[in-house]
Amino acid sequence: MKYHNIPFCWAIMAGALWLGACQRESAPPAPTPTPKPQREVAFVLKTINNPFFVEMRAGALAEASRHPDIKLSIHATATESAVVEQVQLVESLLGKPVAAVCLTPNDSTVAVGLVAKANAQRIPVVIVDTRLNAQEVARQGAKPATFIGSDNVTGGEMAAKLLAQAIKQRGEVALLEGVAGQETAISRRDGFLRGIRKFPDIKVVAQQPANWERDQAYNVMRAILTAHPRLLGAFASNDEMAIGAARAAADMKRDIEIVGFDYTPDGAAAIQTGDLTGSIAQDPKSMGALAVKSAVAAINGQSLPPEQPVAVVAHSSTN
Amino acid sequence: MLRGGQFGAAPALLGLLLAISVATVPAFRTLTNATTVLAQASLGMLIAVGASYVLVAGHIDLSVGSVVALASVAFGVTIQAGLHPAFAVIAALLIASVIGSLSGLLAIGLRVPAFVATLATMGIARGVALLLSGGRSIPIGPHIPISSAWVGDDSIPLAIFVAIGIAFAADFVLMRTRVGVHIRATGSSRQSAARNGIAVSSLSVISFVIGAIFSACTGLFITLRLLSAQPIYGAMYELEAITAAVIGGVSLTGGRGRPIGAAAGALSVAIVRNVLTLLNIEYQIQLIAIGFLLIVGHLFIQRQSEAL
Repeated sequence: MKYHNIPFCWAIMAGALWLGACQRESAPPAPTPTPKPQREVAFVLKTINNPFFVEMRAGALAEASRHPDIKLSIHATATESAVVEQVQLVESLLGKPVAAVCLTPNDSTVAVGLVAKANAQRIPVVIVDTRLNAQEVARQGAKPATFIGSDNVTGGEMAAKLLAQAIKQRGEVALLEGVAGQETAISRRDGFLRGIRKFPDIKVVAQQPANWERDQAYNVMRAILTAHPRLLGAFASNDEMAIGAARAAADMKRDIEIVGFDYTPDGAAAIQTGDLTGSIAQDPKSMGALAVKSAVAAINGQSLPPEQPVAVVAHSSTN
Repeated sequence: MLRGGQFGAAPALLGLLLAISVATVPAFRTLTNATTVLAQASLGMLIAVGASYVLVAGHIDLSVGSVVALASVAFGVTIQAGLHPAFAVIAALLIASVIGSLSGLLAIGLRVPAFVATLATMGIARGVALLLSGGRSIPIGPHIPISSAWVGDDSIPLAIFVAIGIAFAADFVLMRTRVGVHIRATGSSRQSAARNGIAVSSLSVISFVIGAIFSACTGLFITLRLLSAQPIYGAMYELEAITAAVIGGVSLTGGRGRPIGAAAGALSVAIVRNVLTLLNIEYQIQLIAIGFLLIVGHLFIQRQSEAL
């Protein structure tokens, strides 16, 4: 036998061993006699390079340490757009199989298939942060254990209050929305409009989408400021748009109060410098903890509410 | 005759990986897991086999991931327009061939280095994919009945057999047919191949087109599997393809390596990912592990070249 043949034979032998092992496992139908001391909950984060998910991870680990019978494993993909990789990751975990999965979906449609697959295996899936596509959920009949996300409606209401206080509860304000039709955009908008209705002397004179983006918000805000010379304030549904709107106001030498959402590092810095009046922060740590808690409950057969909103926190230059 | 040496580090690595995994990771030994690994590897195999053609011909293709996305979107848009899925497949393969030809013509006709030419087509293909889709994902579920062969977990996905079959067919073409022999000769030494009357220019362009068609097939596999066409698919696949090919003994300097080796390399990467996930090794460490794997793969090829 030549030297070169050795590794090749190795591969074939090991492959045969693998298949042999597989058959042995699949032959007796399922009853595994070995009792499992710990049940594994797998937490699949979108990424680990975003502070939001780093916080979520910390919350999840803290909660898991309170459940000695649970072993928490953390998984992630390279980017939030790694859709295929996330599917492969979750499939590996389902094949293991883990006792429950907490999933922050990279794609709200594709993740539905994973939930359906987990349902077939009776593995509960807790969806965190990003809501599943409702149409697809209905079509595939998928049943997530629960959804844990920020309470965007309340956040919108808090933003309205913050803005109202900043402009002394009277005058004209504008509203910049996220991508039209998106669930988060709708919730934040509706919350804001509900909150602002409590102040009869405040009037929403302009309401336009700027698609979550800083540069689009800049252009939209310039147009709004031109059309409404007496505008006193604006709520932008995320900090990126808020910062874009603040730039537009500064470039047009107009002094208006702007409240954002998400309390990103950029947003926090803009509050420090006075460019923004305030921002509404999500609470990823609590989301992570609640997700693990829910997963444990689901493993123990407890039923969960379909949605569990997590409280948001208002930040402004005054607090 | 299959000689281990033609496949780089892949056989030894596969053997070692399988032996260690089977012995020490209980979850690895299940039939479900074997199916999962093979299904995941089938995607990597296709792009790695495609990349091996381009690499063996002595070039490099960085547009792999973008073409995956473009083919996916082309398929999705055509289906959404109400046309028969067969037309959608043709549209995907056609548009990928156009990108492959463009890469080839830039690299050969205009003598733009392949690295630069395919960096350009990488941007172009991704841009067209985003443009065609409007930056959104296109659900194809309503247009194609959910097939358990693709998404189900009880059955063994068809994709595995298709990918393995394609890998062997591609290997046969490259190793046994005239076109294949000429592509290898072109990659080994362009000058001497040209002196011997081989149409080196056309063969180089053809290798780019073949690579692009494999990328398109990968895009179609993903789209059918996830029932969603997306312009963001395939990010970093070019590196994945090159990693798998190098581990499988495909030389970056052209002329050396086999598509089956590249496929085995892809399988190795898939197994490493799977085992590390089963062992709850976090993502950061997985990246480092794959990095080391690439180095081992390359050193293997290097040592063999020096031994020749």
